[in-house]
Amino acid sequence: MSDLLRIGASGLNAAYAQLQNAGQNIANAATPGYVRREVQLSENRNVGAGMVSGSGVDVTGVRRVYDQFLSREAVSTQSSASQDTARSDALQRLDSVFADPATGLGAAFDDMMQSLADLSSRPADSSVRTAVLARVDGFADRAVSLDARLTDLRASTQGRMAGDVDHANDLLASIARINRQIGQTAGSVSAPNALLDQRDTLLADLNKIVRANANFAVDGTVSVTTQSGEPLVTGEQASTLSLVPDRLDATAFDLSIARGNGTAVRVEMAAVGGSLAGMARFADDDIAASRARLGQIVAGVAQAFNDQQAGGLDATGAPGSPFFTVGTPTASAAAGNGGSAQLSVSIANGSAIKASDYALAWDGSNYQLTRLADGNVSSFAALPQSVDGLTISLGSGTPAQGDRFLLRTASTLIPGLAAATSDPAKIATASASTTADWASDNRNAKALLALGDALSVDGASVISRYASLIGEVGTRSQSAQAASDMSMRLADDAARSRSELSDVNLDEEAAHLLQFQQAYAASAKVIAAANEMFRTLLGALG
Amino acid sequence: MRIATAYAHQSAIDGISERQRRLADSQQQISSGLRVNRPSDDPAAAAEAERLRSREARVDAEKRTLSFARQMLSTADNTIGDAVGVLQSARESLLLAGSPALSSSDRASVAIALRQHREQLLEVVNRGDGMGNFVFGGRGTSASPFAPDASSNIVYQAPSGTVTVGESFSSEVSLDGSSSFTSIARPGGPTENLFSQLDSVIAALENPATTSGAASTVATGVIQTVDRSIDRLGQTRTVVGERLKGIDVREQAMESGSIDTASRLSDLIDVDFASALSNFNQNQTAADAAMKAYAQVAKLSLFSYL
Repeated sequence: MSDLLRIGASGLNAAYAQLQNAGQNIANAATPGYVRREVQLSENRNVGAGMVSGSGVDVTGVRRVYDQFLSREAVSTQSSASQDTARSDALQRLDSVFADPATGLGAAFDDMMQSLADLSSRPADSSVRTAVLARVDGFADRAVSLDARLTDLRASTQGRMAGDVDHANDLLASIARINRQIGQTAGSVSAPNALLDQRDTLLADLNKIVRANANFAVDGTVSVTTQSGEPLVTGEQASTLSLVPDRLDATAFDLSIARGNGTAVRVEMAAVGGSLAGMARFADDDIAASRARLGQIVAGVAQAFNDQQAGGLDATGAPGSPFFTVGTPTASAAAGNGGSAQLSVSIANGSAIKASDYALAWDGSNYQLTRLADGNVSSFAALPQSVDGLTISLGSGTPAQGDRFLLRTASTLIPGLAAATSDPAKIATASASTTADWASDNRNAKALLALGDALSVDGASVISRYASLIGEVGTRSQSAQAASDMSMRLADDAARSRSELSDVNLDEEAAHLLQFQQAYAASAKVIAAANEMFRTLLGALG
Repeated sequence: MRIATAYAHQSAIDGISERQRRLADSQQQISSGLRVNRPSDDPAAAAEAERLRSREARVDAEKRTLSFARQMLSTADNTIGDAVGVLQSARESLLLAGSPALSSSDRASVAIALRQHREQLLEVVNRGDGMGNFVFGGRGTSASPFAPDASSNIVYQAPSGTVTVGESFSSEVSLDGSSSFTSIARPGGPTENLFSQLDSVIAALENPATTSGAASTVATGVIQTVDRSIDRLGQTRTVVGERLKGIDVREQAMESGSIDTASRLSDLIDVDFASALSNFNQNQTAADAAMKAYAQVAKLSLFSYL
C-alpha cells in the first residue's frame, strides 16, 4: 500500500511543481530577459519487492527553454543594429546642420557677392564699401560657426562614447560577479535559472556597446572576449575598458582593454563593433570629411580674394590688403615616434588644396604621404616638398625610421578664419594701371565680382563645391538610415525567433494550469484510493 | 510557431508607433510645404536646390546692377536734354549778339545772359547721382568732370573711357564728356572747347570797344561750335536710348529666367499637395486599422474562459 501511496505522492509532488512553475511563468510573462521554464520529469524506474511497474515520477529539475544559437543570433544582430543606429542617429544631427539653405555657407557667399555687385556700381560710396566689409566678415563668421557646430557634434558624440565605456565597464563587472554566483551554485540539482537569465541580459546589453563573443562553460559561467580575441571577462576577472588617444591623431580615440594583471591592449574602434564603433566612425570619418570640405572651400575663397585685392589699388593708390586671414596648417608627430623631427606645413596655393588631412611616414629612406580622404599615396625622398597646394618642410630635428606625422590642413583653416580688413578705404576697386581717383575706378571691383563664378576651389566653383557637400552629407545620412533600417529588421527577426521559443505565452500557461490541476486531482485520487484500500484491508482483518 | 504574449503586445505597439511616425512625417510635409526638409530626404535634389538658390541670388544682384544702370542712363538722357535746351537758349543769345542794331550796352546785356547760360551749362554737364557717379564721368572721377584749370579755362578732367557695370551683361553707364563740350571735333581743324569759346565771346561782348561787326564774327564762330555740340549730343542721346532698350531686354530675360528657376526649385523640393494629402489619408487609415486590430486581439485570452 505504501508503494501506491508513494507513487501517488510523487505524482502529487510533480503536479504541484508544475503548477508552481506555470505560476512563475505567468507572473514573469512581462519580465524583460525572462526565459520560460519547464519542469523536467522522469519516471522513477525503481521496481522494488512487490512492485509491478515503477515508483512514480521524479522531478529532476527546472529547465530554461533556451536555444544557444537563437540567442547568439539575436544578440549579434542587435549588436550590428546598435552600431548602425548609433551612426545613423548621429548623422541625422549632421544632416540638420545643412538643412536650411538660407543659413548655409553658400548663402553667406552670395550675400558677399551681392555687396560686390553694389561695389562695382558705386565704388566711391563709403556705405557700399562698409557693406562689403560687413559681408566679408559675415562669410567668415558663417564658416566659423558651421565648423563649430561640426566640432560640437564630434565632442558630444565622444562624450557619449565615454558614457558607453563606463556603462560597459559596469556590465563587465556584473558579468564577472554573476560568474562567481553561478560557480557557487555548482553541484546543486537545478540550474540557477534566474542567474542565467541575468547573465544573458548583461551579455545582450554589453553587445549593444561592443561586439563580444561569449563562450559558455557547462556550469553556465561565461568567458567573454572581443571579436579579435581580447579577453573581457574570464571567470571572476573583468577587464577594464577606457578611451585612449589614438597615437597618430590625438583627437580620435582607440579602446584600451586593461586586464587585471596590469597589461593593457589597444584596439582600434572600427574593430570593436557595437555603438562605440558606430559613433567613432561618425566622429572620426563623417565629421572629418565635412570639415575638410568646408576648409577646402574657405581656402579657395581666401586665396582668390586676397590675390585679387593685391592685384588692384585701394582708395589711396596702394595695393589692396587681404580680405581674409586663415588658420595655419599643423604637423604633429605621432606618440611613440623615435626621432626628434618637427615638421611644418604651409599653404602655397589655397586654390589647389584638397579636402583632406594627411599622414606622413618616414621609412628610413623615403617619405610616404597618404591622403586620408581617398587613400592616395605618394612618396618622395626629401623635404621640403610641394604637394596639393601645400609646402611640407622639416622644421627641426631628424626623423627615425618608422616615424609618423599627422598633417592637419583643411581642418585647421576655418577655426583661424577672420576678416582681415576693417578699413573701407583699403578695398581695391581700382585696376593696377590707374594713376589717380582710385576710389572711382570700378575695374578691380568688377574682377572681384567675377570671382563669384570664376573662383576655383580645386577646379570647381564655390557653390558647386558647397552643393556637393550638401549632397554628400545627405547621401551619408540616407544610406546610414537605410543600413540601420536593414539591420534593425534583421535584429527584429532574430529577436522574434528567440522569443518564439523562449518567451511566455499566457494562453499556453492557462492551458497548462488546467492540465496540471487535473493531474494533481488525479494523483490525489490515487492517494485516496490507496487509503481506502488500506481501510478496507484493515476492516477485513478485524 | 509559438507567439510569446509579451512579444505579441510589443510587436503590435511597435507597429502602431511606426504608423504614427509615418503619419507625423506626412503631416510635417503638408504643414511645411516641403518634400525635402533635410538633405537626406533627397540628396541630389538638395544639392540642386542649393545651386538654384545661388543662381537666384546672383540674378537678384544683377537686377540691382541693372536698376542702377537704368537710373544712370535715365539721368544721362535728361541731362543731355537739359544741356541741349541750354545750348539752344545760348544760340538765341548768340544770334542776337551778332545783330548790327545793338549798342555796346545792349551787347553787355547779351553778355550777361550768355554768362548765365554758361553757368547753367556747367551745372548741367556736371550732374551725377549724388553718390560719386557722374553722367559725363568718363572712366570714373571723384570730382566734377568739368572744372577750371590753372588759367580758369573749363577743361574735362575725368579719365577718358566709360564705366561699365554688369556681370552677365555689360552696360556702359557713363559718357565721355570731352567730345561733346571741351574737345569737339571740327572738319579740317583742331578740336574746339565750347566753354572757352563762350568765355571769349562773353569777354568780347562785355568790352565796350568791340564793334558789332567783330561781335558778329565771333558770335557766328561760336554758333557753329554750339551746333556741332548739339549734333554730338543728339548722337549721344540716341546711344543712351539704345542702352536703355538693352536694359529693358536684359531685365525681361532675367525675369523669365527667374520664373524658370523658381519653378524648377519648386518642382525639386516642394511637396505635391495632392499626393501628400492622399499619403496622409492612407497613413491615417493604417494607423486607425492597426489600433483597432490590436484592441481586438488584446482581448483574446484563455483566462477569460476559465
